[in-house]
Amino acid sequence: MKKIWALVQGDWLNLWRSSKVIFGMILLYEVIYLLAGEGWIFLSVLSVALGGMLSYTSLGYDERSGWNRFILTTAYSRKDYVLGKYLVALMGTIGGGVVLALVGLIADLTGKVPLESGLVLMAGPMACGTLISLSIVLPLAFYFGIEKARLLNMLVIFLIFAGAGGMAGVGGSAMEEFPSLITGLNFILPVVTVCLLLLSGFLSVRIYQKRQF
Amino acid sequence: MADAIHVNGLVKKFKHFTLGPVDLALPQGCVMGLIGENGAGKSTLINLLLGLKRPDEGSIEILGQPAQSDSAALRQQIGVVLDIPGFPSVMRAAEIGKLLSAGFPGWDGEKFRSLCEEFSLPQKTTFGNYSRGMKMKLSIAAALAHDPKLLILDEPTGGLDPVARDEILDLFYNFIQSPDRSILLSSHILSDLEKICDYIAFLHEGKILLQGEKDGLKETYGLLRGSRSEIDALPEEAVKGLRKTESGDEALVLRRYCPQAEPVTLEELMVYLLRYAKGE
Repeated sequence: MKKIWALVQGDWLNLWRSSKVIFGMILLYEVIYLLAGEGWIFLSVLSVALGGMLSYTSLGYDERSGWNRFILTTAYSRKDYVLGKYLVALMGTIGGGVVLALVGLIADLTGKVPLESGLVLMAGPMACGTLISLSIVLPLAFYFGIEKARLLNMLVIFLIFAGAGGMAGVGGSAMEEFPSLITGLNFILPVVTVCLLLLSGFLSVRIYQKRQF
Repeated sequence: MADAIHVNGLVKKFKHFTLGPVDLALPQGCVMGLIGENGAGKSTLINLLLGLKRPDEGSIEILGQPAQSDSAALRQQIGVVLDIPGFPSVMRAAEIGKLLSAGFPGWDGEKFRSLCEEFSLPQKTTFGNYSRGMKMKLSIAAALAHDPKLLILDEPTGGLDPVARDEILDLFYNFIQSPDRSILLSSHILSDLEKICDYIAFLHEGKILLQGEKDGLKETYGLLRGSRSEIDALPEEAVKGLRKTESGDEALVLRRYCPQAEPVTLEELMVYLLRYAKGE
């Protein structure tokens, strides 16, 4: 675990130094939202999905510098490297969710947007959606490399969120009639997310152990 | 003497290139130079040794263990410099040291710092802003800082000026003073290999063309400069390469047939065997 944590720290340092513009953009948009009180859907995507996708960015930097290859010649294992990226993805997504929830709370406290409007409530499902998409794309990124996986990522995100939107449309009326469905989804979604993430991590380790450079 | 590297019947097939079969042995306590033209398979061989590629056939043992084992204990004993130094470009030397120290239980932070100082590596500059020479020096400092038993170096002196190269060869020379330490070194700068190597392995089109002790090879081969009639007088098997020039002919010959032949450098040996090989 010590090795994985060291890699994660290295990744965050790398991301912080390389992606200051992205962090600045997120912060700027959150300030704009707090001032204007509009655009929460874009804000939630920007905070949570982008937070999770920092793991791809990190993989991209590694591939460009050759670090993903060099590290395999050190005493770090392939498993350490893969799990480190999953931890970055998890931290980015949860961190994004926490930021989103905080912004929602501040918006409520300052009287701009009431909590009921859904921003805080969106943080959880949004984080789950992001982690599900990461669970699908990260094994592909470890198999094909990050550039090809980025294209697949767009497709996966579209399918997940379009699917979720479609389901919400179809099931919306049913949920209004049976509120227990919402409670059920609130329980099922995190469980499905954790299961998919664990399966994905296992698969990615197996893929990376066989990858040649 | 046990072998630091033992390669047996190694084959790796690609669509347009096949490495091998390669048999190679680097005895412990020795330095082996891996030479060959671009595309001969040197980097592929090094990638196979490091477990970055998997062989289609054959076996590789490093320090008595299978190279493909993904064993952290084995990699702890190997210091590596790759042809493209792969450190994160936004990190500084000390940060790279810290990152590697968590991965290597035997990391000597003081040694890493002193090597960085010795190489005059700027501490506040990020790796991406280093020159090629500085990047190689940092890679070498990282390779040496965890007290490895074997160094595997792919073009470690590439991009360095002669003074820096000499400085680094001294480091390698000091490293090898302990009898349980070994180096496999690939380089196009054959004068560097002349200085430090005990053994030479010469790769050509994926196969080992020549392998042996450097001094033995230099005793075996020699250069004969003279008239065509002098060269033609030698038995056919004595002449391994022939170069025709306006001022006369030069031949790479086996010295046992021609004791008066002049000593040959590694560079001449490589050029004659590749470019002027007899019959080609």
